[in-house]
Amino acid sequence: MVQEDKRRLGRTGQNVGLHERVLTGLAMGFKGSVPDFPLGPSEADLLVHQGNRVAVFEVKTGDPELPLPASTSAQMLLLKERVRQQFLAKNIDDVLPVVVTNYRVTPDDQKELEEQGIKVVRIGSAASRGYDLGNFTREVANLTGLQADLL
Amino acid sequence: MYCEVVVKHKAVITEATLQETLRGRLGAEIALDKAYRMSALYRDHPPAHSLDAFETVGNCFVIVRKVNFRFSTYHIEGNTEAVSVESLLGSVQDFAGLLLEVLSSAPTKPGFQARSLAVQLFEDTGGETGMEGKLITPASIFREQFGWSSLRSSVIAFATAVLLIWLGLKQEPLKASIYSFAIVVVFTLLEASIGSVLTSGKIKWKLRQR
Repeated sequence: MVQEDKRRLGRTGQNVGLHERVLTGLAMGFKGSVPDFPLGPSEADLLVHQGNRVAVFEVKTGDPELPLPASTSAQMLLLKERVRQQFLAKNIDDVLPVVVTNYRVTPDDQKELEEQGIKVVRIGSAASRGYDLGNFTREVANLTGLQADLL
Repeated sequence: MYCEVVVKHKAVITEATLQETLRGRLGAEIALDKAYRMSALYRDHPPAHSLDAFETVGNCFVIVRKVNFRFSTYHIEGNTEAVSVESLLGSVQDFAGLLLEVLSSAPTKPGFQARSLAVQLFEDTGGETGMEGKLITPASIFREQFGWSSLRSSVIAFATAVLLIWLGLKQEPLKASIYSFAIVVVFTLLEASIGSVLTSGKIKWKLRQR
């Protein structure tokens, strides 16, 4: 899967949009990554399964001047519920919903999401221009407690 | 499917003043609990806080979701699954018109006026559909009109005139026509090469009009 992602990133180079670059970078940076994971009628952008933990990622990119969509918390809770149902027989202790976004996130938004157990990772404007895969993966790993797969 | 409308106001606003400004002016109010039950996404995961909810045109309802400094966000969804995406987008258009009117006619609160308005269409599960819209403003019309597609013919005519004057071909119509045609071909080839590099591998989508 990771080799396939590397080929995909190499082939499309700079023409790849921010959403795909971030998603591909995350898939390459974490062991147990499954992009576009089907969850009933919807799908998770990325699922990372490490031991008895599963992190479900949603990458939201758009106009960075606009606030994070107000329905994000409900969407993430729905994804979490569906992951829990899907992994019912696999002895999963923890499902961690993670939003990765370049939208504007106010401290109130962040607090509201974190109170519901949803982690928020901001893609800064510098990262939007020249995306540093290693640093970004480390930041996500620190925030989520996932084990990064970096050389 | 549902839409989120985000309004950027001229100044920082508060929830209380927005509620006061909108109350009773956008449609018949409905209880927030009832609105959450009508929503495909919020039915099972209602938000911790919203401001108000009311009915709007086209069998749709609106939830005033939140206020963040200069932004206010509105959730619009069909009352039933029978409401089509086309009807929903039509309702969003009507609601946006009414909302802008109400915000601009708040005499004691000039900062309420909308500076911009953006809409996004979402799936019932909260995923983005990729369809989004922005309010047409004089600035956006100017940007569009000043784009290459509008200026192309004028630029070609100007380049042709400059070349013909420079070559002194005013009195030789056959040569002048050939040069004029050659300039159009050169511009078209140039445009096609730049376009093919910029849009390599991309699909051009179009939104069908009602």
